[in-house]
Amino acid sequence: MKSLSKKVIGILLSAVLVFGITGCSFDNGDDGMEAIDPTRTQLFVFSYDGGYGSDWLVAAKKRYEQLHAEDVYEEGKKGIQIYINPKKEGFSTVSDNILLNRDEIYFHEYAYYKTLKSQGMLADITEAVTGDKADLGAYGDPAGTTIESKLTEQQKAYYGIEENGETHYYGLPHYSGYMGIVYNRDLFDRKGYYFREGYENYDELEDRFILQSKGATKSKGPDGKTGVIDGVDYSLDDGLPVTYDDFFELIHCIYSGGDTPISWLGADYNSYLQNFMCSLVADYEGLDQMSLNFNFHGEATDLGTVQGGQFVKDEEATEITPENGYELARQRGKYEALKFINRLVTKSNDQYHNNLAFNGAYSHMDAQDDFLYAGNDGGRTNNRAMLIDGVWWENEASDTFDNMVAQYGETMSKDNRNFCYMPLPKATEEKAAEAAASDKAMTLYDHIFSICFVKANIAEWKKPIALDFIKFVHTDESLVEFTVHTNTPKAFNYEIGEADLAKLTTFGRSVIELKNRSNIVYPYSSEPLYVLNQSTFGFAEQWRYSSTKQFVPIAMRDDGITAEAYFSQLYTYTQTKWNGLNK
Amino acid sequence: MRTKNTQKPMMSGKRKDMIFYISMMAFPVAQFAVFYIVVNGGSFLLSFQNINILTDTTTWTFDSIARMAKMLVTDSGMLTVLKTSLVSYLLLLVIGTPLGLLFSYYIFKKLPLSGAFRVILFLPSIISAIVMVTIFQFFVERAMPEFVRVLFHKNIPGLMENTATRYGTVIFYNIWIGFGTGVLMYANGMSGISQEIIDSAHVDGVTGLREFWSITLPSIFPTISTFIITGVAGIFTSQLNLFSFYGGAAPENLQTFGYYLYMHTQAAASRAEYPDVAALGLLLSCVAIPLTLLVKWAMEKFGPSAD
Amino acid sequence: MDMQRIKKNNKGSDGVRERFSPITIIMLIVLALYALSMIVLLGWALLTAFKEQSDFRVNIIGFPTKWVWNFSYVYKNFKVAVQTDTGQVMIGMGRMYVNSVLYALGCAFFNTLVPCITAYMCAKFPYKFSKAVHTTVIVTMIIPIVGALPMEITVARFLHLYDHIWGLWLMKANFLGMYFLVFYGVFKSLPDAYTEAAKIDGAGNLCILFRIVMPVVRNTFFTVMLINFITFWNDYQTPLIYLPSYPTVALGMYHMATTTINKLSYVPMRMAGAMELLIPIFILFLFTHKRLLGNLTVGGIKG
Repeated sequence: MKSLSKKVIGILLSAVLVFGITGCSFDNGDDGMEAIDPTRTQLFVFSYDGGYGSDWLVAAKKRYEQLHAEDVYEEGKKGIQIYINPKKEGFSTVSDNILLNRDEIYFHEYAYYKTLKSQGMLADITEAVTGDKADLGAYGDPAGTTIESKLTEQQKAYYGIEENGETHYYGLPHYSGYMGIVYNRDLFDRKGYYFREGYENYDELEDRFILQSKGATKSKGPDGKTGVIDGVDYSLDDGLPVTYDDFFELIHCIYSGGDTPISWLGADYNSYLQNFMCSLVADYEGLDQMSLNFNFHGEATDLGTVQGGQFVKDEEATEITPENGYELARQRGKYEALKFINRLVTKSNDQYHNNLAFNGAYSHMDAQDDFLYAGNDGGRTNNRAMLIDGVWWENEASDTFDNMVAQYGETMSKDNRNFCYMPLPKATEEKAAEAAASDKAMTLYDHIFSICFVKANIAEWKKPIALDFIKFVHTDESLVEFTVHTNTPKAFNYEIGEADLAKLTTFGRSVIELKNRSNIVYPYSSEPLYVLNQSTFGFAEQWRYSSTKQFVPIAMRDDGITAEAYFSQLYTYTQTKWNGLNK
Repeated sequence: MRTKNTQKPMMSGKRKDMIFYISMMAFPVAQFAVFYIVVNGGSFLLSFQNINILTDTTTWTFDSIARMAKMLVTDSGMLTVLKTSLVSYLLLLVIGTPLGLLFSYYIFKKLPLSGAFRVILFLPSIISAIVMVTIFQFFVERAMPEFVRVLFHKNIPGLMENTATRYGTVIFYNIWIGFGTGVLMYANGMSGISQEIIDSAHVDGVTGLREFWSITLPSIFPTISTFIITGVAGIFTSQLNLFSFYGGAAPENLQTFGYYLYMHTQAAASRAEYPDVAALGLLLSCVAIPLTLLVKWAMEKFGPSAD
Repeated sequence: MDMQRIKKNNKGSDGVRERFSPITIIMLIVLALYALSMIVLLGWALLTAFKEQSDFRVNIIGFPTKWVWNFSYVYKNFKVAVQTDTGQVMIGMGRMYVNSVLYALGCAFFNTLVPCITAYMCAKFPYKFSKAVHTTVIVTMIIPIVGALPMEITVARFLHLYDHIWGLWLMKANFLGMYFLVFYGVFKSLPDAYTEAAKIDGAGNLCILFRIVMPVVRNTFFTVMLINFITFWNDYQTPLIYLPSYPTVALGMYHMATTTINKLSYVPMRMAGAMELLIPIFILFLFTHKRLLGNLTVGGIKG
């Protein structure tokens, strides 16, 4: 017991010491957080406070509270308080307590909708999504608009659950998460890292790129058009690489220019690069073929094998069913993406990327920091032209922008610097031509599994309020507001007017422009095989070639596996694995 | 007469013992029943289930067991994992235990600077694991290459990034942070050695290594054997802190069974995906439990006695 | 008295020889290298804690270009939001320390006491049940548990242990784990003579346990308790799930490490936070290490 008291004294003494050195009083508790207002009715909303923050929700809350300031929901109270609980806890931590916690509406990510449904955690929100009561006209949308009308067919098939011959909704998507290539447009402009008009006729690097010849015209870029046609501006992608080969030529050009061509985080490079690979595959395969990977029903039209480095397409299309879904491991887009990644990660090409690209202590924040600081830190590091990251990166890097403004002035602010999302180059020239001719030139892959739902055991009298708020945050006005706050799109179809577009950063605008011209694939479906084995198909987990070797970048880099070898082993393993799936 | 007299108190003593035993064991057993059996019982049953979350049905089957048994014997990756698990145990045993013993002996004998060492040795254990991993990872990945660059003008990759050094680094880390606990326990065991024995040994001219070998070691053998037995149990459960360093993407040649199971439990998207992991765990336990009991038996049978 | 004299003698002629034998010198060198690895590492962490992020980016190992006091920023912003009936409250480092002490001390005590007593019962009362308990401990160390968390939360809620620090004490008061084996070993090697004598004097079982046996094992008890204390002090996973209203410093550290959107996630800030967490426990250790590392052999019975 003596020792016990000694310990307590020791701890208290040391605690006192810490307070001493930090110069703070003992109680640093409350600092003006919002209190629960007893005169109003509360609706409790959980918001995952990750890369997108919660500012967007605060903005919606203010408008909603004002709109309903005079409404009475409970006896003796007037008005509503949207009470936000912004937390950084991942979904696996949150999920076990959903039914027991106070929060009634959730906005989160990396959540398995069908699992939550099966656990009985989700309330039926059909009334807010579809049908007469779901009309968003009262909140300013065109009459007849519902949340359902803003969903893609794939989303409707996933979120809409058939029960007794009717479609019921228990959840909705939230924000978007595409992985892609960000490029520093200021640097590209300054150094002329653009392909020149008619570059295909020249052999020498300096003739194919603009570089120092500032007056030269840029090539038309992936969309094959330039200038404003029918009110649409096609010039943003001018001079950008059209094919994979172009892209690596650009890398070469940037490297020759003394800059670091491309960079990414080292800590989690496997998952970042694999999500990026999925983006490449989706863009190659297109909406229908890519969706086969999740719904397992339809005709696979570009399966094949690789012989001597050449992809040999099957003579006939293959009817895909849940029984033979492993055949999809032979999709050409996968082989092309493997080749692309192999060129990027192989040890002989280390000059292509930052030297910490595989370093476990180099986080996404570090990569963002370096991307922003490089070339602006008094010559300590050389310029970085591109960064592989998600659409959320700019919002995530807000602190770094602020720090740079404090250090170097306003020119370093988010609004004054120009970054853009690069339209993904195409694997072949045929694919490029095909895309240029289509109005949906790209296919984006959204891997974030974002979700919005009302918990199942919400009080009966409160449910209408929750449903109304759900409707409110999905009006065009609210969706646009989200985009203005985060510079990213919500996972819905909605228009953003010129005035609002102007409020976005250059990067935000480039993302919206890309989204408008793209189909979007979500890695999910309602097919039982998918639902019972979600972790196998979602979250970029489908890249495995043995039970223990699952990741492409590490296999290629450390073990020297070629794209061809990986492609064939991927098929063998997927086939073996198929027998073990839950059915 | 005599026999009767002694028997009576014996009987009541036995009954008293029994009552005392039951009353003292009641709480631990009840606690175990609730927080182990009730909480984890379902985990055991999972191995024999097939769960369909769409229809909310559970069927009883040996499918998962059969499937995992087949994987264990046919999948080449599993052999690598087995090898790593065993080698890691042996390394931690062969390097960690003697070092721990020597250092606690050093401190016990109050050899030069032992006061300072015992504080330093224990530092890694008292720093929060999350922080320690961060510090260590940053140091070996970023600071070490920097040192080498500045001192030797050579560019090297991080120690965990480099395929040649990463396993050694992980093992080093595990020995390094496990040290404090081992030293504490051994030193505690050594403190129980009576001074008289040591003194009489000194009179007989037994000092240094011989003293360590014939007096110190036997007296702390129970502690050592506990660590060895726990270590055997850990062959199939220890994940070597790999998750902290690599998340779900540890390189194949680093993965242990403990990591493999942990990672797949973490990745499971719904209850439907648990049976395979549970079955694999159960199969491994079927190997690990007899093995551990065997080692325990051997320790008791062949180890030196404490006297 | 006697003992002290002998100890003094020890430091005489053969003591010096022993102190500087070649083996001692080798051990000293190995230990010194080991200590150096630790000092360099922590020194580096401390140095980093004084850097600005923009400095650390390019200056990994050097002295800070500009020394900055990150500690007060970390202290001010090292907070965890807690939901209460009157609204959200931010819990700061001060209260987190108190929570940590309560959580770690209580859990460490019960998680040491229960194995200790259970081990004693098993070692000294050779019923069949005792053997079963001993085997159970080993078996449970091996069997991996899958997906039991929801059930555990349900049970904790049902018994009203959820979100109470004392509730966690009960939940952690199990006899499982390797320290049961440690205590078991200690009690097994304890000669029956101690207890027999007391029994003849008419002492009851309870009296023997607390008056005679516990003092004998107090060294081991406090050693195990210290190890447990440190484990619980560093445990963030349990408070994360079971103590939403009582965040501990380790949990705060976890939030700091996983945060993505503010300055706290910068490495220098994290190092500053780590140092702030380290200092109290380091001082605690300075207070207790003499007691804990084999300096308690002052005559009488030893554990």
